[in-house]
Amino acid sequence: MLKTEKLSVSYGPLQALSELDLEIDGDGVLHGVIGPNGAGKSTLLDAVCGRRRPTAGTVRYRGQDITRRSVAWRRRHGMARSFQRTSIFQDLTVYEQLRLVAQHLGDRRLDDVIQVMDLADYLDEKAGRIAYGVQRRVDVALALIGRPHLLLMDEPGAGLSAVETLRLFQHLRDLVRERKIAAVAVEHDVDAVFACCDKVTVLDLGRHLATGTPAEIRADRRVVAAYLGSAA
Amino acid sequence: MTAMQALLVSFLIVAVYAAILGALIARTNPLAFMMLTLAAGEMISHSVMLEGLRDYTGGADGLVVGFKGAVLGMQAADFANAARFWPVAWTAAWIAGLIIWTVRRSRLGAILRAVRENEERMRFSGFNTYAPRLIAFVLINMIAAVSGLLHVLNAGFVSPDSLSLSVSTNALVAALMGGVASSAGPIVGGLIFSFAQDEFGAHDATQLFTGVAVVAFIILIPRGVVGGILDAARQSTRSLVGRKRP
Repeated sequence: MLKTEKLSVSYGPLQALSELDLEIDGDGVLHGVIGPNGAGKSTLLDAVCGRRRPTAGTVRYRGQDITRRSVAWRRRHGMARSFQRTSIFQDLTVYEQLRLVAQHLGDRRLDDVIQVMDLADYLDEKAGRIAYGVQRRVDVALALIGRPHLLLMDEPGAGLSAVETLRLFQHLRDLVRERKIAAVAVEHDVDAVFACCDKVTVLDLGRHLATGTPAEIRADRRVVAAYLGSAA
Repeated sequence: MTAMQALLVSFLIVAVYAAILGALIARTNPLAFMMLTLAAGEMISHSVMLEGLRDYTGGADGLVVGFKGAVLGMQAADFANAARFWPVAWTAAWIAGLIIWTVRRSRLGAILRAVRENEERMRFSGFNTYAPRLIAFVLINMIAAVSGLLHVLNAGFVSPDSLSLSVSTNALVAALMGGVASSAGPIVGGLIFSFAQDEFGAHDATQLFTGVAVVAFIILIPRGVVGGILDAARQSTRSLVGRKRP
């Protein structure tokens, strides 16, 4: 589904990602990306979705080199993204914004997204006036419209409690399996990632440290030493 | 060329100029867009002062605009007559308002509101945000062109001062006063601004009061008069609904 080859991103003299090789499987796999602050997790998503142009390396999506494709092109071809800081249209009602995107992407199953993200009670509310947890769901719902093949999520649990984050991840895992899509979730909450993700990648200082199942990652000495410590 | 044809040609020139300028600057971020728009205005303002163009622009003396025949069924003298000119200006304002209102309620309007609010999310939703921004820029320039043409017909004279930076910033200040959250905001802001200019202009304190007003509006009612009224109405409705609950 997604493959990065020697992907590097730098912010001036700072090397945020360094020759990262990563492969994300499709068909119902929820892939977690963890790592300490400054590991390059969000930069990885930015480079994959086209928000930031890599300084070197390539991004392959469904076999095609998309490194220089625009954000809008990637979205129209099934790569969707949600944001760490909720990125919705505060002044539009929940329904207005979902319908706008659904019409544009030609998705006639908007009701399905509304039901999956449990937004039926908030459709007529201006998005800026609903609770933060619901806003997070609207953010993910906007990404789910158009039946994406690959869903990229930057800290979907940001601002939520540990219980809410775990519930959201369980919800996402079910969704990913049911729709047979690939999803990548960058997340700080390691417990939620280990509980719900099928695969986990650990980054450290912009480099790939390990990829494996949650059990393999927990047992990886390099990961424990660099990141998990006693938490493992 | 008849006067009516000249007006149409002028209108088309503005539309083409807006399309070319818009194509160049519509991609930029909001701050750069504002600065480039003002810079383009300054460029035109200084161009009309060029000696080589004096025969066409009148240079620093400005240009007396007269015409023979009729425009919209009115002679040149009729446009200087407030009683005859007022219905024309009023009709034009209503048509412009109706166009904006229609656009706002259309799909294009929804896209423009969404782009204004969160352009990045629009791109991440698969939208090309360049085209709607360009369309909006050209549309609003065409409306500005109509007001400019009406001003020329009414005054019979174009001063180089009408192209100055202060005229451009006056429009921004008026929009700030009324609020940009609704179509009515800039119109209300324009009325307040014109009224205030007439009042304070007589005391030779226009710039001082404009500055004070800008600071006061930004601090006290950042969403402008109309935005502030809408917010207050919404809060009152909420508190009334809240009281009714057991």
